[in-house]
Amino acid sequence: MGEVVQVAAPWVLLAALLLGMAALGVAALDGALAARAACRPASVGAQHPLVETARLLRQRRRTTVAADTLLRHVAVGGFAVAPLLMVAVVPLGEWVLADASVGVVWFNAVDVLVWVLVWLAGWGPNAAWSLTGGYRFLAQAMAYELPLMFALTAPAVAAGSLRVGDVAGGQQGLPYVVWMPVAFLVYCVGVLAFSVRGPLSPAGGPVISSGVLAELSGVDRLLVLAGRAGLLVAGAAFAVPLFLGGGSGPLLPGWLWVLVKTALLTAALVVVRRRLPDVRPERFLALGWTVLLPAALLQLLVVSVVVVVRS
Amino acid sequence: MADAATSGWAGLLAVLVLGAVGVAGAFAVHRLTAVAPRGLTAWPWLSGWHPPEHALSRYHARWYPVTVVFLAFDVEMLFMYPWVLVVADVGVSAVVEMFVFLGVLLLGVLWARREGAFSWQ
Amino acid sequence: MAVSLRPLQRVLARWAVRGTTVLLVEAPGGWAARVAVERAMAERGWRAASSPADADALVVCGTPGDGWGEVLERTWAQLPGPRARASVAAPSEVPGALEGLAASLLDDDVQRVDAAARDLVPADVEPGDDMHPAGLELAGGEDDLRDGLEMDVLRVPLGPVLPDWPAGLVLRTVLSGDVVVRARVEVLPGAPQRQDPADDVARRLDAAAQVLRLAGADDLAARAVRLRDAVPAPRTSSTDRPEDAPSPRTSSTHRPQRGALSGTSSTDRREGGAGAAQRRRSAGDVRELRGRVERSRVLAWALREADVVTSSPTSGAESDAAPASAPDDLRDVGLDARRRTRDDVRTLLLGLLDLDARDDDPGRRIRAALDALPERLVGVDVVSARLLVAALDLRTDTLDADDLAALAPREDDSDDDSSDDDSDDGSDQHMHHGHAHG
Repeated sequence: MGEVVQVAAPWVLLAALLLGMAALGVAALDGALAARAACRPASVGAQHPLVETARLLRQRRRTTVAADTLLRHVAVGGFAVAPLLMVAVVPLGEWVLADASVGVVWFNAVDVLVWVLVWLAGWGPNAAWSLTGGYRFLAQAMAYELPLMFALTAPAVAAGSLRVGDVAGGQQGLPYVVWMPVAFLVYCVGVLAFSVRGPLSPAGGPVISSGVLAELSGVDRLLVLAGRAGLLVAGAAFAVPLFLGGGSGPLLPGWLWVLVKTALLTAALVVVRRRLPDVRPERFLALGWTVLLPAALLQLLVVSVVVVVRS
Repeated sequence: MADAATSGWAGLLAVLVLGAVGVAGAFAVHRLTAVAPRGLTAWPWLSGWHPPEHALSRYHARWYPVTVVFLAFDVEMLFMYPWVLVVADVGVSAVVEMFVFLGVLLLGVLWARREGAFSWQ
Repeated sequence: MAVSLRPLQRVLARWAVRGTTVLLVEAPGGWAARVAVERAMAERGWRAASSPADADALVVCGTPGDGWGEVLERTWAQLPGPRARASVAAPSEVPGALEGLAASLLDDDVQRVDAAARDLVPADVEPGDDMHPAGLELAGGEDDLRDGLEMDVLRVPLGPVLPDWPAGLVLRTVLSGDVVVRARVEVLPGAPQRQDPADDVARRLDAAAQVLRLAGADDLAARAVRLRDAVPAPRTSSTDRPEDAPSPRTSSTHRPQRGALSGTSSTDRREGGAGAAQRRRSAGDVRELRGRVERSRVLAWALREADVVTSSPTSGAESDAAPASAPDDLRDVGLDARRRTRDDVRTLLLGLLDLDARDDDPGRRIRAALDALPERLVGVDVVSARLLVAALDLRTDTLDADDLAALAPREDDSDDDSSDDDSDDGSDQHMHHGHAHG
């Protein structure tokens, strides 16, 4: 496997395009599954993202009395940019937008940034439901973040590097998911949790009137919805170099393998989150600290011992 | 190596800038497509009632004991990332030292659990 | 410049209207209308809005009575636009109403005129000062809270404009964080509607669907909705009767019983074999759904209430709220504050899906439930509170005039809310409360 090459900045446009299309795909799959559950044509449901985009582009923007305008805008814009910041360190085959020597830490930093964004989206509108959504998200964040961090370090320990390209290159023939499945599962739980939708979405579930989304309309809402779909895609995309062997695979070129693996994992996550009811942060808190965290630490111990024995 | 590190950050900066430009572009497009370019201000939604007070307040977070436990672990992550890079070189002693440290923190978690920090009060 | 964009804007409008979001508001007695609207929405690919900011259309189901005017106007002013509104008093009005909404939303010129005519800032926003930004009080603390921390409480009314919420119910809560420290029940009335016992099964499935939707179990909720819409109607059609001339009760043999679907109800004899077979199949489907709910451990885990400990048990229900606990023989096991369990929502949900259960006097049950609710909700987080309220299947249209008078909204609610804390807030914003649109 060759070295990873950092490409010029304009390629960000391609990354954004791919990410946008994948986000539309997430919403389309979601819509199709919902339509099927209601015994309506899945094709109609799959159009949902396009219809919703048209609707929100046409809808007027709206703010609230005595809103914290600056923080609100930071949250809305941040949602759209955060997934892009995540995929920036994911190698697409041999190309990467930013070949940072601490790519894994960078991803970690951006996923913690999601905390800030959700909380700001909750604080910004000066509304009770939004505020409650933001704070409930923080409670959940405290349950998933540490297990997620330790899950991220396991592949890095095995590869002896925090550079994402090195981690992908370190799993020749044997993807890390095979011998660190617990870390992979914990990582996936983390992705579900920071994409603010589905079972781990105390920030925006129906039971708190869509919480942080409650006062958003027009393009603000569109950006947040697109951003949270993008976060799911970015989380899945980052799992590819970390656990799924990166671009390695038979026949197809590396970049295509990365796209295929990302698409499959994203679809799997969409299906899983549709099948589970909303988990409340107070329930998840105990689970995170007493099950996920010890499991992730145990996995890390196993990986470290293997690495030491091997060297 | 230092060069590569710098270029990595330059790439991230480019992503950030272009992302911000993209967001600004979305807002500009919306001004053309929306039924009215200027946004409205509305009262926050409270099931149809007028809000009796500002929602922004000193919010009673029920999980504040957890934040303390979290902080202890989170600070530990500062050591974790450098440690990742040297495990293979240093060998057994690196693993033992780190996991003894993590074990001590886990004891703290057990204690916090016994104290009921993870059930909301 | 703007002229050249017109075709694009038209295309957007056409696409947008295909996914219109509707904020549904149900007045007591508007159940049949709301269900009919939901069915028609599903056929058009429309979806229910989660909040006014998310909504293109406001649809009022049933006939709102006293006290609704301001609530509806305030909500209408919160829709961002394009926006349209309709009132649907009876199922027969649904097709026309939705057609009108679609036409209005599609008309870009009308929408632009409406948008241009609106105030950019609500007329009742005041300049305010440091302690009253925008003329609104800052949130205040309360002494007697759980752990003595000096934190603020928020007065958050739940309902009547709230998706998956009982028609006309207003739960005036005081929240500390996301936990209810006090609650009071009011009901905004609707025009009295004839009760149709034949709707009982459909109504219970509807309530179950609401609980499941709130719990995020979307597939199960969709299943419950389909079963609700497939409940065989003893009349020609339960959603087609004209509103001005209620059809004569062809099903006068019906007794108000919960066994209507169980295959043993008295209508079977009248309806003949095909109807009976359909009813049996339908009952089997409901049992199957109940089985899925019962078997799902994840759902049970997700529905379970958190243990919230209140350090001040007496700060709970308002002194004038009825201290009554639910009688033993009622289905509302979830309401006895002394015998409450953390699985009340699940128990109630399974009860809703149990076709053999009977509820001979829903009016009495619901009055008892409403009386017990404030006490039961103290120390419960707002999420559990909403699940619990949905699971109680509070049919406010069964309340009689005396009940409604007792539960009528009180003008002095803000003073009342702060009566047992030392602050003197309330007097200033009270003015907004009553006369914001005066």
